[in-house]
Amino acid sequence: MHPVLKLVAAAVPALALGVAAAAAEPVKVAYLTPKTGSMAFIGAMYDPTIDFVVKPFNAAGGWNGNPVEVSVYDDQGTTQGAADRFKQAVADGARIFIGAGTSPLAAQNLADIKRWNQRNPDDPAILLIVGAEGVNFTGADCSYYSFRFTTTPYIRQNALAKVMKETGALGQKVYSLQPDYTMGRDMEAATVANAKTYGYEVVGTARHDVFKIKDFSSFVEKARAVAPETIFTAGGGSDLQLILQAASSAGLPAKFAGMFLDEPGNLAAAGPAALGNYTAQIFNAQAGGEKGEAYRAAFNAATGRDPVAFMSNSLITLTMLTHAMKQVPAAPKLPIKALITAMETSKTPWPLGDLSMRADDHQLQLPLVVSVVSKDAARKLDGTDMGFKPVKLLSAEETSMPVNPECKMVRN
Amino acid sequence: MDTIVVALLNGLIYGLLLFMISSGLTLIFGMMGILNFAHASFYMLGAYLAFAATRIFGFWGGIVFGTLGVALIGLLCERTLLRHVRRHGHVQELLLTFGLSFAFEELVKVFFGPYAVSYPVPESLRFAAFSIGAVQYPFFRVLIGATAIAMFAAIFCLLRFTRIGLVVRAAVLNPDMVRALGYNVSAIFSGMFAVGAGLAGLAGAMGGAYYTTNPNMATELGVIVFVVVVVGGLGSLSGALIASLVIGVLVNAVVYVDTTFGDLLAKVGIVSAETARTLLNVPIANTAGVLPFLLMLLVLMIRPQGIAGDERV
Repeated sequence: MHPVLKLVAAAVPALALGVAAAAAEPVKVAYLTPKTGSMAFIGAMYDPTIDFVVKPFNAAGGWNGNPVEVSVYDDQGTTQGAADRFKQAVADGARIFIGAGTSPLAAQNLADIKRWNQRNPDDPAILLIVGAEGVNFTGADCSYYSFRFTTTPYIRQNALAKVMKETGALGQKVYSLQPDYTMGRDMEAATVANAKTYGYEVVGTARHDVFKIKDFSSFVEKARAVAPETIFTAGGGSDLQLILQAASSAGLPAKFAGMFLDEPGNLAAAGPAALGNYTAQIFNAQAGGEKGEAYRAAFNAATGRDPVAFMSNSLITLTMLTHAMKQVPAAPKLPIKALITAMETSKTPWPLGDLSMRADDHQLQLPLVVSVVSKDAARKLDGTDMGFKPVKLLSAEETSMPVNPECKMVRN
Repeated sequence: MDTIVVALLNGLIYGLLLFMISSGLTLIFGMMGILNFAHASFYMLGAYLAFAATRIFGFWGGIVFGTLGVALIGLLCERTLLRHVRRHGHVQELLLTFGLSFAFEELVKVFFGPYAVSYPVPESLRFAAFSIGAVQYPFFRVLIGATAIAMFAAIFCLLRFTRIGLVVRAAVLNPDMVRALGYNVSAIFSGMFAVGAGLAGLAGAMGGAYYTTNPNMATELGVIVFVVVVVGGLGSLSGALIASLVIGVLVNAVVYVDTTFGDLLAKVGIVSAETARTLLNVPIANTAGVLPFLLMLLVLMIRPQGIAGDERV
């Protein structure tokens, strides 16, 4: 939705509440995400999640009577756009920023936040990173003012390998086929690093350019030559669809283990090629039992679709943000440092288990579901006859990885 | 041995798909001098129109609908938009088509959503055409290749051996004279544009089913199609065919190369072993996506008119 429309949408119920509400100063949150351009599919995922969390929070009184007002800013998927929208949002009065894009966009957001905080130490801003999985955000670039609400490739690879080893799906020969940028390299490093722990041999690695390769058949043939049983990939979007298509039409007898198979459209585009492949999911209603199913049903009733992929990360971000706000006492203006402390110390309930934010590196500690694409899944997706059948739900303790030694957080 | 044959075959067929898309682009440029930036969008529209029509007319009906639909859209673009800017020169035409490509991308998102759609190859066509060693070669790939070859033969014969072809070629060389002889040159140009767009539509209808149909498919192929046309020689159909096949085979073959850029340059003696191990430690296999651009750079340096381009360019 256009920022102005969003503003109006937030203002109308506020006016309806009458004098008391009109006096309350809204807490402004800027949601930076690509809404146009080639990454528009990313921003489209987040729209339904905002109202679903924020509306009930405001209805229950918001932050001590002040409503939370989330405005969406379109960064167009470019770092220049992200920098421009940051300036606009900060001028509009936002001090809480949600960065919901790729790692390069989040890096831009983080640089902008750091600069703002250096210049305005008395009026700091914070960044909540929704979708960027680059290791650096909780490693060398970790910051007191930024939080990561998703996993790293290390966390997902570890979860996948752990569960697939237990069920015997992993096999002895593992291959790594990665998009050639930070996240893919991290995934490759994680795959190599875990070889001993889970008793497999990395028989080959390959990297491909991101969103530039149309025909993956040569990558598939190269992999076939070393006969892997499982192929790890951090690929997403059309890359992942094309890889699955190429593997399936060439009859490659290996299963894929990935991170983003549950993005909207992937099952539809890959068709039967998706069956039997594994993914580490943030949320899976079936794995959450009654609570999970109730959450899914409520979300579906409000938005007309089930939460998948990074939608779940956005829901987690907003839920943890509003949960932390409840613990910040009333003041003329929301004290950001008190909010940070509340974020670090509180446990937030979530249908799959409690969520928390590790104070040392601001990495979300979350349960993960390792699922396999199957026709027996409780919920079918994308209008196909396939869905994600949970293999195992891992608790936050089980998915946790040690703090990155490169993170030297300055706490002020 | 099997691997080499499969790699070669994969490369050739991918090259043929590239040719299907770029043939229209090079035709339109050769005939009308328009560098059509929206050409890859026609490829995308072909896939989406075919996807939409599949539900009503079935898979083959969808392919026909996608082809004709895009040809019609091309015709409308030429008649209602391009025609009016032509007298201002080629830069204006280029800018207009550049704008069109954005408009088409956002329109597709408005109508079909920002995610990929389910437009698969039907089950009845999912079988192996033949097998090479352990590899079951998919029939649909062979079909894409065969369509491209048939298309090349058809356009070539049309331009070379028919009266229509004669008039079209004459209209390109000397439009005023052809007009004076009583031919409707503007209709010929509109027809050419429609045919060029329709060819991209056909490629989209088939490629969209085999690969994926999503709003980014135009951006993914847009640049590479230009590379094909530049390497082949702007306006040359046979040049585009050669360039497509070279690029197709090259990007497929390079994946199998197990050496780095550093090693390669160090062997020749251009860089030190130290630089090779650190700065240039980039496996050549990872560069399949950028290799066509390297090729374009080389061609522009050594033979600026392209493989089969003429001196006009």
